[in-house]
Amino acid sequence: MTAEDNILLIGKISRKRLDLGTMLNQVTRKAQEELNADVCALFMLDEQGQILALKSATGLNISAVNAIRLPKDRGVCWKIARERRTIALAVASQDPEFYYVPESGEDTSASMAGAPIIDEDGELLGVLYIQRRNGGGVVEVDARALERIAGEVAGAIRAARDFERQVEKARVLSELNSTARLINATNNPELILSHTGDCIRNLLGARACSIWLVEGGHMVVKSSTGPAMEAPEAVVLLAEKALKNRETTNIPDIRTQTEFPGLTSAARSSMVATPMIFENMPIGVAVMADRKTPQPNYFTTFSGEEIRFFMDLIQTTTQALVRARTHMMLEQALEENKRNMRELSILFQLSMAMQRTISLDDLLRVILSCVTVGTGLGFNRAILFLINENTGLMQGMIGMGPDSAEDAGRIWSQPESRPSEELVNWLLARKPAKESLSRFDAAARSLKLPITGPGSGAIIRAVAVEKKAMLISGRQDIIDSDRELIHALGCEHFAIVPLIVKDNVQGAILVDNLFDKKPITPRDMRLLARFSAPAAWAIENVRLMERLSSVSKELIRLETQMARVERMSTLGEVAAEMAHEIKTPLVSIGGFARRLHNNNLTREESKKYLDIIIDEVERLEKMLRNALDISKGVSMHIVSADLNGIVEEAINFYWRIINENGVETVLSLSRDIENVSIDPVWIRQVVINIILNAIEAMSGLEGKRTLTVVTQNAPRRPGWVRLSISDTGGGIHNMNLDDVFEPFFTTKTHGTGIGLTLAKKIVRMHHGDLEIDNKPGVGVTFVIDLPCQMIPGSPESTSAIGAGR
Amino acid sequence: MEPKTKVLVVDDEEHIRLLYSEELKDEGYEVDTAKDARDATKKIDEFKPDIITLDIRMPGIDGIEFLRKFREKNKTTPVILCTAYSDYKQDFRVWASEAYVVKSADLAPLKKTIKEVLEKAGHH
Repeated sequence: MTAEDNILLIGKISRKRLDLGTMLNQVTRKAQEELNADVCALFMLDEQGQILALKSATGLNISAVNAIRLPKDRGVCWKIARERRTIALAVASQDPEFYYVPESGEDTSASMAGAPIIDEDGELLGVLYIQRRNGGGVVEVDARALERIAGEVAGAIRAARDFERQVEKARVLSELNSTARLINATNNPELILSHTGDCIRNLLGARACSIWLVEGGHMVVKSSTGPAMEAPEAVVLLAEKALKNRETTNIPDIRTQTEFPGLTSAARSSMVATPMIFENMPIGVAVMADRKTPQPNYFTTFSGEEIRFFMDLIQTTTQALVRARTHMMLEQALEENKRNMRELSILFQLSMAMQRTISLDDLLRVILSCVTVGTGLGFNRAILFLINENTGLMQGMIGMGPDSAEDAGRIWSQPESRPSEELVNWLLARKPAKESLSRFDAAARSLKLPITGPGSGAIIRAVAVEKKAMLISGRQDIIDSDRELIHALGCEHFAIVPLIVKDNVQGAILVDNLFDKKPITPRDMRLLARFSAPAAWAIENVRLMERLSSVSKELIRLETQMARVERMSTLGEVAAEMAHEIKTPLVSIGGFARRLHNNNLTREESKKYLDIIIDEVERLEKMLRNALDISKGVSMHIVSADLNGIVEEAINFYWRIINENGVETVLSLSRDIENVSIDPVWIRQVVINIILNAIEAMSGLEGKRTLTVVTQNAPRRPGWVRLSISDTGGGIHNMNLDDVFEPFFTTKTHGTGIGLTLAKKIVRMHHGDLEIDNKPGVGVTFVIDLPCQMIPGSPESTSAIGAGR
Repeated sequence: MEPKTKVLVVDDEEHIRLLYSEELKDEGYEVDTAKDARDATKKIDEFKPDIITLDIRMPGIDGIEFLRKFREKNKTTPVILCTAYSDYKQDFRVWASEAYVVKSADLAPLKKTIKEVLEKAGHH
């Protein structure tokens, strides 16, 4: 095998994809063979240029390989490295700088040659060394060959290092990939940050790393791993700069940088900052610092590749953080939604409870129950105020809440367990409980706070005048002006919201959490404000209802009175008319009688006067006969009419009076009866007269008052219909019975009894019958029979009732 | 001889007219009567009474309405309103009359009122 072949072989070896150690061993062996050397050794310079370490050797004790390091600047190898030239010595020991390669036998006659291994870029990688024993001599030719081999070795080392770098890169990429997978597999921001930090430190070789996120316009440290950095101030400045410029910024060595004047560090420190940008928005910045080396406490610069990996990783982290934040916001929104739904449902139920309460006292109690029960709004205590329009004072109406923490525990433990569906019923059924009779309630009820003017407090003024909801937590300036209120509460932390209806403040609800000290949150305030609207409306409605009810009672009273007055005035008019009619003949009779008595008259005169007196007396008699015909000049119009309809109409017309007198009506109206031939106006009047008399007869009686009205086909009287009206008014005493239908008879304190007289007359004019069935001690039944067919020749069908003047 | 003071009695009741007429004649008045408003208008023109007694309740135009129309033309002749009851006293329209007398079988109050009204009006 020729030298050329060997060199080619070495070239081949060097091009093989072998790991560096294997390759170097093969190279030294071949070089020893080719140059016929006893020893061939290959030293490599470390990265810092401090050490020449033996990497492979032939002719030496193999165990020495990797253990042998040549002290710096000692011996011929270091000279070769320093001077970057090939040196050959025929007798090595004669050279003053010669220094034996350890374990090489210290042969004083040995010759040697060494060549620097320099790669294409001119970087010194190491030294290739051969030694021949016993003055074998190293000739110039050997030195040149060694130089050529060193050149091949340089290429081989480079190839091997490229290979190793690619393997390393593949490993890093694979690691980065699994880190990205870890990051993307979680929505926990802390986990994302810790995976990122681990990766930067373990894979990219940073001693430390920090991640800042922008929150409310400031950078906030979210993650910081590793020991303290060499230059923490520089890290912050660098991070700010990277974020501001939105570009990755690299400081290879803090000691030599000029960007941040005044910043320096005793030790070498490097750092890289990269902004975290999502959709063009900077959300934060990441910094890694101090590239580790195999030497502890010695740091170098990050390579371009490491910086690129760092940027890629941070990009992944940024997206993961944004995704996690979005997810969190979605979850919060979902939770918020759920809570809103729950609140709405509570508000709905509370509203229901409020709407179903019709007395003001009950309503106020229900409202404060809503505010204080755990399943409602859950405040510890509450006071409800209403503004008194007349006095201009905010008046405490009711206070609800325990007097002490022990009471509180007892009270709140009760309703909590109830399912919410029962809330409405529970609120409604809740009777004034012990806590509403508490000292707190008494204190609340005693509060009368001026809304405006000199005595008014700032809190009450703000609520009542400015319609503000207030959350008070010990603000001294405000509290001083509302000393009375604060004193009653015994607490400086509370909230008060106005009760507003149609833009008017009608009162306020005050709440506090004196016992469990739970802070009142903006959310509580919002819920309270939302609750106050239906509460205010419920109060307004109940107040309106109470007013309406009192007005309506007054109306019923007036209506009853009016009905009576009307009846009385009609009778009064009739009486006045009759009295007037009677007066004229009386004046004549009396006047002429006096003349007869006083004067001396002629016989003719006397006769004339007596005739007049007789005439007028007759006229009076006639008048009295007709006095029963109370109504004048009203015609009757007989038609075929539905008696049931008339009865119902009459009952409906007077139902208020019937109700007012506590009378129960029992209607039994047969649907089988035919129409009757009557004047509906008159028969209606008869029914009304009898009903009113019955009601009057029953008024003032103890026991049940029942008015029974029955229509039916008249028994044993085909073609006739019977109407019976019964009362439970105790009946009429026997002595009165015959007189019932006589004019002006009455057993009552009111009325004249003329109604029954008229009733009988009207029924007679319809050819009907009106009978009275008296059960003393029980009641009276009026029985009216009316014909269905018109009775021919009925004189009253067209003529006037009663005698005209 | 001094001419008698003339009284016109207006009343729809024949017997009342006769009674008043006889009684007032006994008092020394010259008396004429009218049975309704229309009759009264005619009699006032012909008889030219010094004083009129006027019934309120009359068929057709009643006493009060008649008085109102009469006062449009004649502001001086005194009028005494007569009625069965005092229920017209509250009616401001009767204020246009000089006096108001409640009818009675005893005519003394009427006679006294006529005398007083005439004196006030300057008759003797």
